[in-house]
Amino acid sequence: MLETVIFFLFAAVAVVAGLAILLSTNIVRMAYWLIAMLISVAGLYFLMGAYFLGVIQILVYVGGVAVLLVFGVMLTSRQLAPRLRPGPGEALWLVVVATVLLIGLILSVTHARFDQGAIVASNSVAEIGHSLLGDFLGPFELASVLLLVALLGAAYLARPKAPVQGAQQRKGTAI
Amino acid sequence: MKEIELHSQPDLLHDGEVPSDIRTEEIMLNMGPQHPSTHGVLRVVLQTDGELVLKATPYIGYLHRCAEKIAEKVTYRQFTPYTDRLDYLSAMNNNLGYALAVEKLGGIEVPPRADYLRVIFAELNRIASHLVAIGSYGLDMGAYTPLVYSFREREWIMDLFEAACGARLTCSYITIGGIREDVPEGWVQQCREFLDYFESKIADYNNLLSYNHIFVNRTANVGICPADLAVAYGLTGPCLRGSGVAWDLRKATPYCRYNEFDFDIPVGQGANGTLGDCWDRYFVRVLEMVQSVRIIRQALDKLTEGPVQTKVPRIMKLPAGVVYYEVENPRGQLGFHLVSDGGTSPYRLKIRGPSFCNLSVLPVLAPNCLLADIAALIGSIDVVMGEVDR
Amino acid sequence: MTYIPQRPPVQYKGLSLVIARLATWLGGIVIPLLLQLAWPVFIAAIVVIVAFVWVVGRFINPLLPWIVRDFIVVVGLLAFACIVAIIGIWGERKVAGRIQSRLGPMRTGVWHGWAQSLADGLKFVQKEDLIPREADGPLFRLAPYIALVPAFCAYLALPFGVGWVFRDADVSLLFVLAMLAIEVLGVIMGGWASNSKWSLYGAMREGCQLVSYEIPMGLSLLAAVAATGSVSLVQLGEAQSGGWFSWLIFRNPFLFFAFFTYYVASLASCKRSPFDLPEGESELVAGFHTEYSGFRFVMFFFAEYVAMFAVSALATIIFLGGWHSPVGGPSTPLWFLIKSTFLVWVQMWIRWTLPRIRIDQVMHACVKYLLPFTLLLFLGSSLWQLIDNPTHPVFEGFAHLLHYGLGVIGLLLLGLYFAGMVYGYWNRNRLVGQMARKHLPGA
Repeated sequence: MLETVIFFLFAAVAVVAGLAILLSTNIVRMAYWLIAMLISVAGLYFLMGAYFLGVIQILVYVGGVAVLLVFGVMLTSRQLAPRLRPGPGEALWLVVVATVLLIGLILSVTHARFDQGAIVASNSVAEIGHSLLGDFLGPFELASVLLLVALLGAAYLARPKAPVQGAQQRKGTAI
Repeated sequence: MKEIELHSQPDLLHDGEVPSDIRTEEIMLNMGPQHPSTHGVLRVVLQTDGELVLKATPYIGYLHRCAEKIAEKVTYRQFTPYTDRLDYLSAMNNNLGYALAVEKLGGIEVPPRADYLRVIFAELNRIASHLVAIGSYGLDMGAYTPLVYSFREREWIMDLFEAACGARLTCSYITIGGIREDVPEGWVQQCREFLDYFESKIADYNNLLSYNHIFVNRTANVGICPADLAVAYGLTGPCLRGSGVAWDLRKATPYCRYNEFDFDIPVGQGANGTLGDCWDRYFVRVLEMVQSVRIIRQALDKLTEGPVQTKVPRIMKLPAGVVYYEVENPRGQLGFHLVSDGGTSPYRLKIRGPSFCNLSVLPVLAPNCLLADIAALIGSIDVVMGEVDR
Repeated sequence: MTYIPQRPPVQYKGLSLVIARLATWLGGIVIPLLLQLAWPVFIAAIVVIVAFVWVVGRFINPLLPWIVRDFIVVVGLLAFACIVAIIGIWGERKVAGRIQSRLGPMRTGVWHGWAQSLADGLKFVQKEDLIPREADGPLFRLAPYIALVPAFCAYLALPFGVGWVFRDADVSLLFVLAMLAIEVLGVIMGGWASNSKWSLYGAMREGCQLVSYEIPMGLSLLAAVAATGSVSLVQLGEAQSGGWFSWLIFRNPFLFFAFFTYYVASLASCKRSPFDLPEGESELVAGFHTEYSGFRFVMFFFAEYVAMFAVSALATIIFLGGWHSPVGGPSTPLWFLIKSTFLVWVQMWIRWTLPRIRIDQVMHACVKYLLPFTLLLFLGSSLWQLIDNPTHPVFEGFAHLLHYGLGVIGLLLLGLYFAGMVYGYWNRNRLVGQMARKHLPGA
């Protein structure tokens, strides 16, 4: 009973936050609604017993991706409340794509057969570690290489394209 | 060395610009008159590109108190307290400069005891002023403790001043004709005690602040002022000596029996970075404190008995004439340009404040500094707005 | 005549008028009246809570004792965190005073100004709640909570002793790190929502710094995790139960240095000097919380001290043996508190000694020096685990030698510290100077 209450609490926050992201026009507010949604999804993970996943969700998504998003928004917007209003053509596309996705989701949820067995709470971290370095070694290494490529690409794209003349005076900044 | 054009500014707006696809915006930042690290009411308007400063424009005048105009209305002796308030951290030195200027114009002789006492008090005030400079510079860099330590030492100097003249900061002690009154009994002994105690403290400051790795990294190679730029902009005092120019009025044009004393002029050597950076200017002040202790010891030994002032009428008239007299203040060369028309007040008294000229180099050194370096720069130039605005 | 801009007077109509009148009545009349009759209100509140618990208990009977216990424990943790912050603020001022050869607060509360924090709290509560007109209202109001609440949540997974933990999860270490990572967002939000360039600078610098230093922090902790094989804080603490030689800091030389890299990285993550650029007092007035006053500022302030204790507690549990006694007595939460407080004290010590590092130097230090070093430590620690094989007699002997050697080094460091303390106390009059002593209070 308590579980149901908590589930509905987290789910309500997630849904409301998701809706708020869509309906809001202020980019910074959107970013923070996104953070609220990610944290409530992490709460749902905790509720299901997937502690490791929930913690990684907060560490990576909220502590990494969302911070990056917020930085990007704040550094590139010119005023305090940057507005983002989709045009009429975009709105049409939005409706079409959203309807298709919704139908697909409903179909997949109704036709799926969920395993009714209870989740065995085990030492999830050790098991995840074993499977990452055992069964799923290939995807793990591939994902690492992908991240490395993304890092290198970002560093290359963000390099200063012209030599900064003033750098000579500050040559002693490194420790 | 490249040529320096005095009257045209380099194109700072576009120098150092990074052409790229994303348009970066420049922010106009106001380091307002109320700010913890502008020493006094100084307003600096910064044009920054992110963290990089492109242009810095100082705005002064927030502490203007019409001292020079007041000088035309009060008598010569009445003006001495106004000189206290010019560079309020080195009151004795200001008094000394004014007194010497008036004495030169009026041909007034000062007894030897007064001369030696003047030297002692001027050097004590130099130590006190440099203690404030060092302490507040540490505070600007985020080291909270050296400030309190240097103020602890300064309290002793303030006690000595209070015992001698009753005031701690704005003393009006060195007056025209000598010193206002003689030092009390036991003062010389206490002064010697202070000197013995103080010399060991300078090692403390060096360990805590000067050689601190973090402090050196904040101040070395920042705000490099080459020697010719320093001379061209009229820098004096530790700012000039930090750039390697060995010029000190106490040696070059000795006044007040300074030629009888044996002391060195500390000059910046680029020990921790480039010659003429903020660390050099800061360290010159530390070394000057050591030299001041030397001078005071010698002056205490040479102290003779006798009167401390020549009798000067309360409302005195100076013969008509012009005199320009400069003394070596802790912040630079303080000059008094005194024009007298034979009356009881000066016809014109123009004060050359050293911080005014030192501050003029800020817009030249500031570009291509980071925002945090501006605090380092202003702290190393060590302005006191009292003598910038007068 | 100077132009003073006036806000247009707000006129409520209809439903909003009713609501406004109700709010005024409640806020202006009812609540002050209730506060004057405080005692009956408290009793009534307790009665209401008990009634609520009874009503709830009728419907979820089996879970009631656990809910009550959880509630009490959470309130206790909240209280503990608040006390940590209050004592931390007072302690900081006393420590600052003593380092600066003065005494710190001496008057509020008769003994050494212990009530200074309480007085400050009361003062802050009375202040006018200023929100800059151009600031983003909801975000401005929300930011202190986002900074403070995750710091509190970190205490939910911190064990003070073997049975002394709110929820002993498998992943408690990661949970604490995750909570400390959310705090970044609150600070950025505060800086942004103030709509002041100075605050924005503080927020940007702080975001860069915190996010970058989370990596060496996590890597140093991971080195210890690799040595123990568990991410649960209780198990990490229990793995060090064999006397002070078994503490993880002495387990292998890489972990010895990992403690110090973790400590430095945690200084940066708490925005403590020498990494206190975000609140760089002499440059940005107060950085990201320039525009905050009154209770909102107190929340940011509290968040800092609560996070300080949390990271020190992490260091204690993982490297310094947690709740185990170094001198061979019973392992109590008291030892945990003593060690964590000692680490917090060292943090304060460092703050009042070192100047501030500039932001580009901070990032240089992280990416060029600290990060490769911690990666090396992680690698070295893992390799050590690999070859720390009991069937290799030569290596075993060498490992034991190093083990005890590191312990002796640790003892020496501690001994040096105590020797310095004793020397300073013994010569406390001489070091200050004769005449200056007359100015110190109590002379």
